[in-house]
This record gives sequence, structure tokens and C-alpha cells, in this order.
Amino acid sequence: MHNPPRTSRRTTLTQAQLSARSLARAKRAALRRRTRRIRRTVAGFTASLFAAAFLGVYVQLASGHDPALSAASKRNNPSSLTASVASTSGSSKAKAEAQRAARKRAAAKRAAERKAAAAKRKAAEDAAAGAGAVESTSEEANAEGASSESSSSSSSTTGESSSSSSSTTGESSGGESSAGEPSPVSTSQS
Amino acid sequence: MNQALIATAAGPHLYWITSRAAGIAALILSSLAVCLGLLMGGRLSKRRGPDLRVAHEALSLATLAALAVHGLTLLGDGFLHPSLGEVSVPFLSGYKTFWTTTGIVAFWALALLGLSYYARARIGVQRWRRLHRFTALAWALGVAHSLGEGTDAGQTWFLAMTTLAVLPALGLLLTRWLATPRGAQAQPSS
Repeated sequence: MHNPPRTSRRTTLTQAQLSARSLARAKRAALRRRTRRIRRTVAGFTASLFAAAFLGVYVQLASGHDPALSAASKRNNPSSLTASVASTSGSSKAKAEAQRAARKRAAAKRAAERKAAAAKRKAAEDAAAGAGAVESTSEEANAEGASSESSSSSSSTTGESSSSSSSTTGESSGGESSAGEPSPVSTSQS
Repeated sequence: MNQALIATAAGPHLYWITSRAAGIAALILSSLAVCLGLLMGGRLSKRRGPDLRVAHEALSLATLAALAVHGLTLLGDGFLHPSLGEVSVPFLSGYKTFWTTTGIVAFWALALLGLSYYARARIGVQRWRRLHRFTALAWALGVAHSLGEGTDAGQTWFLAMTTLAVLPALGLLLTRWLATPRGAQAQPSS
């Protein structure tokens, strides 16, 4: 079998397909270029998107307007505690901690108030006791002069001291003696 | 002086800022990728098919890269201190477990469904097309994660940006769903 000369075949093939091959090659190259361009565009878009988001969040945080950090700072500031708990959209952990801190603060406040009231009461009792002692000594001195009214005056002093102390502490049983009877002071004065 | 102050204030939060920025970028990139995918699959755009495919592929890969940065940079965060398991395995994180799990599931679904493109000859083209439709579901999970757990989810700018990114994709998804006859939904779109 005789093959045609290689050179002539090659020449005919090249002549027939040269334009098509070059066209295909050009199209492939164009597609590759376009693909590369699209990938570069997407990569650039991604990088710029990330940079913009980073910058935005960074500036927001640095300027003190970050939602999570502002919630944390409000948590540390007791005056705006309720507002922070109600309005912020921060983490639930932060809210729980803020509520716990608020409860702790309220309990401490109540304890301090109770302590102050107790101290006040004690001071008033001490003052009343001191006044009662002074009054009783003066009454005793008067009683020496008037022996007929000694028994009633002594009872009145005890009654007066108890009523004065009860008025300062605000107790309801102040008008009565320890035995539960009406105070002799009120009866004698009235 | 001010710049130094800002750098000092935001310095400890660099990992956190990076993670947030990557999450924002991933949200926008994934929405764009879903839009292009729906345009191609639903034959809504007749022109420049190869360009759309290249752009869709590049955007999908950029989304996966941004999601990897989003998760991995959290490992360096000084407040959360999560382990690799907590940012990659569902239900392991103690911080907002439901929303964190939603994000992790969305990431793995996006990664598997997206990268399965390179194994579609082995999977079978028609089966791969059916599987690839679930990418929209994974994207929706990601959007839910950003709105449920995102630090900026309560901010107006974030909500506006999410609306701008998500609404076109939702519209295209709805158009595709309504345009596809019920009997033909199991068939491949092309």
C-alpha cells in the first residue's frame, strides 16, 4: 500500500484546517483570559469586601459604638444597668452576668439600709436611756421633799422613760408597760 | 496620639474583628454565588453561560475561604477561647449552642455540596445536580446563623446589608421554585 508523500498531505491538511485551528486556539485563549479575569475580579472583590468589613467593624469598635462592647461597659456602669439589660442585643451571657451583678448590688444596698436603721435605733435607745436616768435622779431628789407622792412619781418616771424610748424606735408597744397594762403616765397626765 | 489610642483599644480584639469581617464577607459572597447559581440553573440568563459558571465557582470558593477564616480566627479570640472542636463540631460549643450549631452545619453543608462539583463525574451528574440544590438550604441556614448569633445583628446597617444581599437570592429561589413544575422537580434542570 502506497502512502501519499507526507509533505503533500501535511500541506493539504494545514491548508484546510489552519484557519479553524487558529480560530479554536484563539477562542480557547480568549476563554482562558476571560476566566482568569473573572477569577481575579472575584478575588479582588473578596479582598476589598473583607477589608471594608474589617475597617467598618474596627472603626465601630474603636469609636465605642460596638454593640457587644458597649453592652459590657454598661454592665460595669451601675447607673445605666437596667437600660443596658433591656436595650442591648449583646450576648445572653453578658445579660445574665449583668442581672446577677444587679441583684448583688440590690442586696448590698438593702443590707446597708438595715445596718443604718439598726445603728440609728441603738443610738436613740442610748439617748433615751441617758435621759431617763437623769430624770429619775431629779425626781428622787424632789421625792425627798414630798414623801407623800413618792410612790406615784417613781411609777410615772418609769412609764415616761419607756414611752419616750418607744416613740423614738417607733414600736407599737411603747404606750404599755412590760406587764401589758396601760401606761401610768398617760393616765396621770390626762 | 488618637491613632495610638484606637490601636490600643482595638488591639486585643483583632481576632474577633477579623472573624466578624470574614463572616460579613462570607454572607455577601454566598448570597452572590447563590444568585448566580440560580440564574444558571433556572436558565434565567441566556448569555455568557461559561462566564457565569466561572464566576459562580470563584464566588463559591471565595465563600468557603471566608468561612474558614471566620471559624479559624475565633480560635485566637481572648474572650470565647473556643477549641477547634467547638468551632467545627455541632452541639459542642457552650456559647449560644443552637445558633453556633446552625452555623457549623451550614459551613459543612456548603463545603461538601460545593466541593462535590469536582467529584461529579464519580457521583453522577444528575445525582450531583439533585444534591447541589440543597446548597440553597445551607445558605439559608448560614443567613439564620448570622441573624441569630451575629454581634451586629441588631444594627441597622447590618440588617440593611443583609436585606440587600439576601432578597435577590430569595426572589430568584422563589421564581425557580414556582417556575419548576411539580413533576419535573426531580428531573435535572438542564
